[in-house]
Amino acid sequence: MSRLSAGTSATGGDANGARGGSKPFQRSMNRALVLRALRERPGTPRSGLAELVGLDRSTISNIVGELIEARLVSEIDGEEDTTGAGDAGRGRVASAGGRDPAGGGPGHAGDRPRRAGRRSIGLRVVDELLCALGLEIGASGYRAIVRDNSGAVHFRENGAADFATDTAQRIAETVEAVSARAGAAGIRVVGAGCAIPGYVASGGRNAAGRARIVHSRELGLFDTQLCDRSAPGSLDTPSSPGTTSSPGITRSRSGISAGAGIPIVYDNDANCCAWGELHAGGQEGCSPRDLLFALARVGGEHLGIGFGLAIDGTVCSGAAHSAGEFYSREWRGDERSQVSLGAQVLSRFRFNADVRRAFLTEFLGNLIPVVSVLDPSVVVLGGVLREHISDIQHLFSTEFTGSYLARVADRFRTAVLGEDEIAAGAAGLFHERLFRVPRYETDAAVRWEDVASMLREVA
Amino acid sequence: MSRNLVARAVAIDLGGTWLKCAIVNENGHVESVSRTATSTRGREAVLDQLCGSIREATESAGGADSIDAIGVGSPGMISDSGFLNGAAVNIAGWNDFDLGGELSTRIGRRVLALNDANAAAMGELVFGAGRGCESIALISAGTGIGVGIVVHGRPYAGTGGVAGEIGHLQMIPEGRLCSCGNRGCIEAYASARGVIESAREYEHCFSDSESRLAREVRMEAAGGAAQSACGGPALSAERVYRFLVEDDPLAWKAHESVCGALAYAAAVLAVSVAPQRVLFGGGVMGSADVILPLVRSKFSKLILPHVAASVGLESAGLRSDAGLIGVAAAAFAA
Repeated sequence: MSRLSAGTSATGGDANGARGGSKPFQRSMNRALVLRALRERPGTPRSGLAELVGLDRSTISNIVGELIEARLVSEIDGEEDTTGAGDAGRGRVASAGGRDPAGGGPGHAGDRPRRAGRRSIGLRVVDELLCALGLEIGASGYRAIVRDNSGAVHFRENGAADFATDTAQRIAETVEAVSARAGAAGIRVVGAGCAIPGYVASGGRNAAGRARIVHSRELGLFDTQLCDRSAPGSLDTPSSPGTTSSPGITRSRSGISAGAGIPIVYDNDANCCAWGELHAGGQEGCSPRDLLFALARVGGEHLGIGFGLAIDGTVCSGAAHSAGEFYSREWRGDERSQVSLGAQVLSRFRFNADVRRAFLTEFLGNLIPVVSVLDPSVVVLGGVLREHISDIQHLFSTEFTGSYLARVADRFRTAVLGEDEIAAGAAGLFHERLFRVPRYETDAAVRWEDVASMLREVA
Repeated sequence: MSRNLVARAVAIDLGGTWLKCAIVNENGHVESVSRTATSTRGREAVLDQLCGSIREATESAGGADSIDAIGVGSPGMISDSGFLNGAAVNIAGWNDFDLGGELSTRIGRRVLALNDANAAAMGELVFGAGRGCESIALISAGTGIGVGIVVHGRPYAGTGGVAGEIGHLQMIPEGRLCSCGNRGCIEAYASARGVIESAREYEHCFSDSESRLAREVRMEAAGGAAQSACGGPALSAERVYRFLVEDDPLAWKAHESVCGALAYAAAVLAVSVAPQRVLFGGGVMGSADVILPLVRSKFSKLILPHVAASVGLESAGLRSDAGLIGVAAAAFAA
């Protein structure tokens, strides 16, 4: 496939390579291409970027200059170029769904030295400033994690809140409040991802441009619109005077910053887990690009099951956001269950071994078609599946011995992120949306301009 | 870009019986095509055939500069990297080697290798009934069941090249005996053989006066002489279809079984990959306009309404040369 960039040649176009059409959009797209390239290949110098993304060097220099000024990119200590000049023909920037460029690492696409001994100057995204809040919600509470773009966790918080009521507002308030508390600890949150137990239309391209919950059994919601930003207005630290509180939330009338709030993106919780796992490093130190994440989580009286599917480094939502839908073939129509066991029986899952065995056996049996059809390189188990991995392994060697699942048992593992899988994955979702290259003007769920603006506020 | 200003590809569709080689342009137009019998002398002979066909086609097109991409569609479990895992049972020695790499080395430029079902799906996506979609699945129901999957505009083969191998998924525990030795497989119901078996399974439900097909099935069971005396051909899927068009009740009953299996296959795809469209092709879909409504009806009962409403079930659009066109489409996209 051809490169995505506009303004690829020196003929025509402004300093940022935009030619005709919507110049702001083209500038925005080229900027996103550069940032995505640096995210995937940190340490690439300017000349390497030019070859990777297909923009001329002057355009790259201008874009990089802007990004450095915006504190989104920094130069790193130069390394001697040993790769040879112009050696970047193998790679191309992966757009959403594309493949990783071959090779990698600093100096791969080397800077052509202008004189002997000149060191190349690599560039990198300033990961530590791109702190995203990942929010896992349930009917009665939340888990929040703040992670930067490198995956380092800087802040954690659990709390109680009723997300089944005024859901959109509750989420927005929680994001604002947790971000404020993180801010008080010296961590500036630039955006948030929220994991929803249910089907989510991610927004962006729909008529209203907003995400919505299509259906959530755990929250008891249908067709519920969500907020694309946290509550506007201001928040102060919890200990400041003039605070009011609602269960789990603290809000004040005086504040440090005012404005449009923090951008929030949403996806199904299993999809968020898949995002998190794609960038978590895996158990061998490198992340898979194809994986199936199977998540089973207990929420109130409900034991929900879902899948997040990643193909070639991108999570697939599928038509109607239905990729990863799970219903057992033996399902009998209980709206509160997805297997033959009713909700009441499943409520004993945690403390009844027979119920657990029956559920896991039915689940694994129904997993066979999905794994068989998808043939993923890794099947990641999260939630209660992770907690009961020993039961699952026992079933592989007993109930499912000789079956297809037993043949591919070596592909099964638990989530690298452990109990942080959903919240950390949600933060990863924000990073993914941030670095996504927009295909048209209304495509960008999160704008780099907003992030840069937030970083300027704290500079 | 080739001198003609229209991109062109050498596309090969390798089968157990025939090797077809074509020049296909980026508009899906087959400019030329040739066919030779696939060698039965093992892997090296087939590789030589492939390379010879590629070189010949390239030469006839005006040389290497006139060809922008080369692709080969082959039976077997071929991973995204072009490695053939396991064996393609209909070609001797065709197992466990880097098909894409081997051809690329011999030809001296990149040759894309992909599974033939995925190639056909790619063809449908770019030029056929999947146009406008990013993700589709193509179920080919004929002698066997083959599924090709395209996700985000690229063929999806899975880790071992087995993504989409849906034919031998068990649909009915302790069900009908399948050619693979297991019971209840989708293929045991949805293939051409499945149509015939269903007709035999339900013939007892209809008298001779109610169903001419039932009468023929009983005569076939009674022995070949009786069949010959009747003057009719042996029972086949095509023959059952003809009865379907005549509104024979046994033919409908048999097809209900087929449609149920196809709907189940589509449902598995809908909840795993969730393609925008599931397309149906192959000989079993000979009466697609008759069968598809029944498949859709059964499909809608297997999954949630909003999921069923969002996945379109349609007939495949390409007919002859679909494999060649698809190989070219995949090679252009690689």
